[in-house]
Amino acid sequence: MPEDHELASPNDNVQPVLVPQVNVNDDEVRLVGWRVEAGACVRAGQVICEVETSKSVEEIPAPADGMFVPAVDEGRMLAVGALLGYIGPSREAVEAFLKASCADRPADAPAADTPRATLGAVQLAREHGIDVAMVPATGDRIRREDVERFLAATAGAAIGDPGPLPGREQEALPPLLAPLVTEQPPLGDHAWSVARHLAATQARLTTTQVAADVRMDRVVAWMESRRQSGRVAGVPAAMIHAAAAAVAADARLASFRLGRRVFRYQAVDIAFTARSAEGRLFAPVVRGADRRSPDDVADEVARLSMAVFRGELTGADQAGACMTVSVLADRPVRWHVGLQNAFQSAILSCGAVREELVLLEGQARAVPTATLVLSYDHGLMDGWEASGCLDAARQALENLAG
Amino acid sequence: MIDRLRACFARAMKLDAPAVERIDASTTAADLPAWTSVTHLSLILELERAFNVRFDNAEVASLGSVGAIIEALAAKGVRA
Repeated sequence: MPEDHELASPNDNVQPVLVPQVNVNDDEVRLVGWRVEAGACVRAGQVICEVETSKSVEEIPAPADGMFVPAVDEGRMLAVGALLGYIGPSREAVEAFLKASCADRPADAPAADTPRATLGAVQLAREHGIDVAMVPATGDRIRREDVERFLAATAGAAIGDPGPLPGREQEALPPLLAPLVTEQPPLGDHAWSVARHLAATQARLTTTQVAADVRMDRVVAWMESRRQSGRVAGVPAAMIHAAAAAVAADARLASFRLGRRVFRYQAVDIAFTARSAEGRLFAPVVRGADRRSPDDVADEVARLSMAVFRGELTGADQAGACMTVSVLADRPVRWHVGLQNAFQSAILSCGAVREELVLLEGQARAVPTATLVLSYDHGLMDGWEASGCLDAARQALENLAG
Repeated sequence: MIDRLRACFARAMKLDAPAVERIDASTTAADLPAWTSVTHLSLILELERAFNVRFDNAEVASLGSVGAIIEALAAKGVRA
């Protein structure tokens, strides 16, 4: 099988099988091994391989019935979205498909989604977890050798360089700093994966924020009511409810860009940040948040939080969220700015609930208040539009009913 | 049983002695400010270790009172 695969559009019978987003914190996985032979007939849902994430080994199912032809070797590190293989009615059909793809679109043909880059450049950049749009072109388009040159030039980027490539490991400590610092244990696999994936996401987005104060008296009353009836509730559940309202105000909040291409999630599945007992950060997903009552959301948040705390969260629990909420209610922070997760464009953040004096009907009253911050992609919407989403979230919180 | 439960609360929520003594069968999360959605998770783990049981993740949200906890433990064969 050729090294530089063509990502041509699938015909009716043959389709490429790509690495899915198994874990929201990982932008690459290791192909541990194939579970089917090359040329084996598989069923949709049948496990075809195992991949290793920063957290666990996950099984990857076939997306359709057919004959599976692998495209990469075991042991390789693959970016999310990279090619695993092909499924078609027969091995000959897959080979004919590949041959036709290469004939129509030579290896150096422009990629459909990145007009200035060739397919070879896009594939190599994706394998190394970088945005091909960041690579300088030496000709009229970004070619594979441009990416190779870029990778070589940034492999040893030192601390203090003006723009180290997101996700690229910095290896050279400036000599002047050596007597001033002592090296500490490196980041663990999970922390490194989170750092790299957040950096890669930020490199794709044009991120900015809008913020607003919100009255939390209805939220506090709802939480108190649940506590009195012996049920657990926290601010994250209310924030998920608010995020669903924000998405209803403008569905672009549930979309993300890959360059100029825009993708929109079909379901309003919203993630929330949660910590395990060891302090590791995860983002489990509440499915169909727009169709659940706040009480139902709170029960689901409790279930998922317990799974995180126990270290039992699965890849399926974390995949496919359209946006994320992040709450630091237990810390004395007024507000904080969240960073968007992979393949999302927005995150709604909230600091601690505080008492603020407001004038209501001529009387000074202490009202529970919090500051919301919506981080969004300015490539998808501007501040005016984002503030409309934030206002929808604010209204959802100020009008909260169980 | 109430003493064993109090010990679990004390460890999970880092309560002082007076707060621990006030916990009884009628206590709910509304009576104990330290009983938050975060400390609740630690409490569940402490209960599981102390009573050698396992709570399903889906029933965690409904264990927000001492009464509910006692009932859930009884359902798992733990007697007072």
